[in-house]
Parts: sequence; structure tokens; C-alpha cells
Amino acid sequence: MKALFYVWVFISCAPLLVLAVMTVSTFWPYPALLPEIMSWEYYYHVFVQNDQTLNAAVTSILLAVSVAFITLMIAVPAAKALTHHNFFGKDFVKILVLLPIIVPGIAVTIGNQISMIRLGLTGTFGGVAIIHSLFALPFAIRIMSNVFEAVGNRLELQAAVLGAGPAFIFRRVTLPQIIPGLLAAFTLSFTISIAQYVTTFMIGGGRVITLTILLVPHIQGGQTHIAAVYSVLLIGAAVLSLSMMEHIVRRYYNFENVFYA
Amino acid sequence: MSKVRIENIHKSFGGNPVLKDISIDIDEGELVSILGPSGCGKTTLLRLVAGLETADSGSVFIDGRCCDDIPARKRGAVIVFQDYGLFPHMTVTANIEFGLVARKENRALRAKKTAHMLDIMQISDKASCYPHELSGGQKQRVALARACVLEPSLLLLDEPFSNLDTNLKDAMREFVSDLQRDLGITTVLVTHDKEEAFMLSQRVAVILDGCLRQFDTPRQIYARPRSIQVADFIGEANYISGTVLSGTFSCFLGNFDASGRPDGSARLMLRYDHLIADPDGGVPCQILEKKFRGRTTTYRVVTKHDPITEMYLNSPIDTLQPGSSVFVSVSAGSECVL
Repeated sequence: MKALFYVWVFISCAPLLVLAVMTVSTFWPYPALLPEIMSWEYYYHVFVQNDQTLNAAVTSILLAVSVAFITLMIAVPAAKALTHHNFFGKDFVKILVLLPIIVPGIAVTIGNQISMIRLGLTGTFGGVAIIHSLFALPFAIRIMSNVFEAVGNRLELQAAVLGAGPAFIFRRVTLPQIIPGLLAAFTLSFTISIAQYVTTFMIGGGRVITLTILLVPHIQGGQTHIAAVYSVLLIGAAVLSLSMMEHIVRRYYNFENVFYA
Repeated sequence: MSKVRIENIHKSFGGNPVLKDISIDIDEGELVSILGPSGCGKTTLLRLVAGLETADSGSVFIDGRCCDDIPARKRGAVIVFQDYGLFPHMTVTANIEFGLVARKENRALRAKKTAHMLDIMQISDKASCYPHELSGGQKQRVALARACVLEPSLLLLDEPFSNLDTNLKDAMREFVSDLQRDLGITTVLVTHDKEEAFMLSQRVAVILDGCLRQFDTPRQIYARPRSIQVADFIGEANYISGTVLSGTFSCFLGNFDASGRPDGSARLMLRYDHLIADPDGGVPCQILEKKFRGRTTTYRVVTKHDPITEMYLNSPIDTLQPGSSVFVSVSAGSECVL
């Protein structure tokens, strides 16, 4: 088991290592194992010569966090309703929820772009956040539905007969139970948002600049080393913000020793 | 006036009737058991009273107030679920306080009431433990404390003892019975365990196939079941065929009072406990089989003059051997003609 785990770690980390090395290799001819000339040249290019980079990083993170929050705000009640309530057309709605990831993304985005132009949302941070959320929602609802199914509504009923109102129940009973699932859904939504390119490009119209918007032209233009720097930056930003998030949540809800004891 | 009134309740799930025309009146401070086999709809009835289900028709009145449009949290009827439903992320104290916090009672009063409950339930030393650190009996005390601290107008217990092992079960039954009497909380207990219902309650409602078959004192239900179904469910009964003629039932065991019964064939129900292995005489029988059960021994006997009629009887004597003869008589006043 342990050996398998290390194999898995190696397989998932090796490409990242290559990526990291690429960012500092000025001259790396075949078949050398390591670059022959190394420098910070590409970092200089990305951080100093391009004054958009830091802004883009901030935009990416803000966007991802907003998307994660918007997604959860919708996914939690939706998943709750789909799990514990019965209403007409429930099965149909369940399929409808998955549509944005069944239908090709580009088709969904073009359709939405027309509506967004009408609403004046194109080229705005809000518009991009909405379109990202649309693609994060199916996953988040899926995760939260499973969480609600596993948790059940027994304790909520118990709280209700003890005289608690809906808001009180949600805060004191439901929320602490679903925190691990919320974290998972948050992380996934965050990751989906931070990796979006086409949707950001189409709805943002070049006015919402994220790291991927800066990154992709470099790949297309063959400047893979600069793309590698952006990639490392993107990964770093994501890992940093997510681990901060998890750390904060764990401070408030010490759930592990209670739920998994 | 009755404290709780369940009036003509009907409930079905997906076209399948679960409860049919149930009406029960419960007096102030009374402990009533709802007794029935698994799946007879008794838990559904409890959830209806608590407001967790809606009846198809019929009403529930608590303190004379019709509860049909009152949500669960405002009814003042607290359920203690079979698996206790403790909040895993809260300490014992926080669990017990939950309802008081929801009611926005002030901190000092809350602390006082909670401490008092911890004391009554004898779990003061567990106040800062989490539920997973408690034993089954302790969990149940916390669940009871959490309900009782609210001084509910009605306490609903759903199979409260079924998750406890035998010795603990007896202790907790005693405990709950004392508690209920001391606090004077009107209580409805749902159970499939006859002994439990008989031991704890002032009256027992027997529900079979979604219908209320009999609502009476434990003694009446045991000795005077109103129908074969109830007698069968309570179990351990012999049925002896005979005939009723102008208010008297006669069979080979003798003549018994059957006033009010129409003439014709009928059956006499005799509990295993109501037949006596009598050394002084009675109907001569032969023992076919014996089963030692601890407090009593159950004998299967056959009457000598009629080798088809087998009867079972419980006796404190465990020395009689299969094959030997015995006289059997009916303990006075225990007969019940169905």
C-alpha cells in the first residue's frame, strides 16, 4: 500500500518538477538531464517586464474565491432541496443541473454571452464570476447532494422538535455536519474557476485579466518557459489560498475528532 | 379534560394506508404506550403527534389546542428518537442546553436548569464529554435530559430502550418510569416490547395493521384482550373451543362466565400463566415436553380424555418430567371468552 502511495506521489509530482525546472532553464539541450544554463530570466520577464502579472494573480484568486462562494450559496440549498425535499419534476431538475458539463462548454458560453451582453455583464468581474459558477455548480451540487444524503436530516428533525427555528438549525446543526463537504466543494469550485480560460476570454472580453489569460498566448506562441512560470504562479496561488482557507475553517470547526472518532 | 387527543387520524404513504382511524385520549401526567409489531405504523403516529408528519385526515390536540397547523417546533411535544439523536459536535452540556438556547433563555437560568438536569440524570461528571465518549445508557440520559429540560407538555419516546442490552434496559426502564412520575410529564412511549409496555404505562394502545385494536390498562389487555388478534399479539395463550349457552361458556375444563356473549361456538383464551399444575386435582393431563425458561418452566401437556387438545402452561415448578401425569386447573378469574 505504502509503495503504491509513493508511486502515485511520484507520478503526480514529476511533471510539476519538470515545470519548475523549466522556469529557470535558459539553455536545456537534448539529451542533458538538467539544464546547462540556468537563470531567473523568465521570472524577470513575467514579474518585472509585464506589469499585468500581479494584478492578474490577484484577479484570479479573487475571482476563484467569489466563484466558490457564489457556487456554495446556490449549491447548498439546491442540494438540500434535491436530497431532502420532494417536489414536482425533481428528477428533471437533477438532469438539468448537470447540463452545463454535458453540453460542450463553448456552446453554453456562447448562449450565455448573448444574455450577458443584454444585461451589460460582459467585460465585468461579476459576469465572469457568474459564468465560472455555472461550470462549478454541477460538481458542487453533486458533492453537496452526497453529503446531505450521508448526513441525513435526522438531527435537523431532532433540533426542530426541541424548538429550534430554521436559521438556528442551519447554523448550529446542519453547518457543522456538512463542513467537510463544504470544504471539498469550495476547493473544487475554486480550482475550476482558476483554470478557466475560454469562458473568461469570451465573457471577460479581454477586460478581465486572469493568470490563464496571460498564460495561454505564451503556450500558443511557443514560449513554453514563460508559460511554465505562469503555471507555477497559478499553482502556487491556488495551493496557498486553499490551504489558508482550510486552515481557517479547521480553527473554527474542529470537526475531525468529533465526526470521525 | 384530556391532555392529548388524537382524533380519527388517517395516514397513508404512496397509497398504502399506514394508520386507519386512530383515536386516543391521553390524560395529564399519564404514561401511555403504543404497542405493536414492527411496521404497524406506531412510529408514524408518534411523528404525527410531534408534527414531523402530516395526517391525511384527523387532528391532534395538545392541551385542547388543535395542532394541525402548528409546526413541530412550536408544539411543545419533544421526541426522543430511538438512536437518541445527540448532536455529535456538541458536549453533553451543549446538547442539553440546545432547546433553551433556541428559546433564547438567559444564560444564568439556562445554566441552572442544565445543572439540575445533569444532576437528576446522574451524569454531572460527563458534562463536558462528547456523545461518542458516552455509553448507551448515558447517551439515553442525555437525550432524556435534553427533552425534559424544556418542560415539554408532551414527551414522546420512540423505542427508547431497544438499543440497550438487557441489564441496562431494566435499569433504564426503572429510571424512566420514576423520572416520568416525579416530573409528571405526559408521556407517549412507542414500543414493540409487551413487557416494557406493561411495566411502564398506565394504559396501553395496541395497534395492529394500522388500526387501534384496544386501548386499556395493561392488566386488561393481558387478561381480557378484546379480540383474537390482540390476544395473539400479546402471545402465550391457549385457545380452547367450546360453546356459549345463555351466558355460560362450557368446555372440558369446566363452565365459565360469558355474560353478554351470544349463544354459539366460542373460544376460551387462557394465558400460560393462568393454567396451574395443581397437585390437588383438576383435569388429568400428560406432560409432553418441558422448556426451562429461568423464572418459570413451560410445559406442553395433552388432556387424557381428548388427545388432540394440547395446552401450554407456565409453572414455577421445574421438576415435573415429560411422560408423567399432572392435574391442570384454571386460576380463578383469569378466563376470557372470545
